[in-house]
Amino acid sequence: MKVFYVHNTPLAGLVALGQTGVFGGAAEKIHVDRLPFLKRRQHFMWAGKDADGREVYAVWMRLDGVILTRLIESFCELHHISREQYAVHQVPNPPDFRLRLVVLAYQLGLFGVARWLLQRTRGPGKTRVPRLAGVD
Amino acid sequence: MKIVYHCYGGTHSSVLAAAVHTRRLVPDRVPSPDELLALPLYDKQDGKDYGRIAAYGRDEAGNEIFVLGRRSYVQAPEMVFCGLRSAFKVAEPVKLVDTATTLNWQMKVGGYLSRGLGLKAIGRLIVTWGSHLAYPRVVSLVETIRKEVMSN
Repeated sequence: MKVFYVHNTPLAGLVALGQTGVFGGAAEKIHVDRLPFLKRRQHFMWAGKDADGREVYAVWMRLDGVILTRLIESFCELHHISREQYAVHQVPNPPDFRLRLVVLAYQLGLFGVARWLLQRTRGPGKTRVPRLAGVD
Repeated sequence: MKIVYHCYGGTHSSVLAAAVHTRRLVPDRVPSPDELLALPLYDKQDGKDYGRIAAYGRDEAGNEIFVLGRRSYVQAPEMVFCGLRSAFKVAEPVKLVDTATTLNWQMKVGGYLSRGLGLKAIGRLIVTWGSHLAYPRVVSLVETIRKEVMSN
């Protein structure tokens, strides 16, 4: 089973990594600078495996999430990959105000600002994985 | 092999290319407006179809032909399909062909009027005129792709 988290910003990568437990326990606090994917405008990333052993991926590009989802579904239809073998989740807008600003900055193309804000969501130089409602 | 012709709406240039590739349209004669409008999917897809691949038939070598609308995100199909091929370890290649390079202003304006604004009468008049003018370019692109895939 493969799970794809899609968004139009690198937030998809953070959410996908969060699902794999990378940010849990002692490693919860991380340096934004150690996540080079946060600089990428588009990317297809393997994040690891979640607690249920599912392979977790993040896909983002400046693109309507619905179209991104349809492209994934189209590919799977094209290659006769059944719905039981994959799931696509569109990352919802985060409830946290600062994270909303991060998303807005990314969407405006202000990647430096977005990372600067992200770094400050949980203290200087460090951040935690965003907790997002609707992502299980 | 699977060949996907893609353009903004997946309803004009990509459909023309798919029709030429599958020989629904003959390459050496420019089709009439009625022939164009009778083509499956020609000037029929809209917003709800963006991102969805539609089957268009097979060529004589058995290659499967598809059309796709991807709005202005030219790189999206390549990036997503490349990642998914790797994720699912799919060996069969998919040839993605951007047909927007064959567009002219008449097709853009006509397509927008017909599909975007719903002004079908005037839109179709202009888009079929544009398709008529763009036809040699579409044929040239398709013949290049056909030679490429037939030689493999």
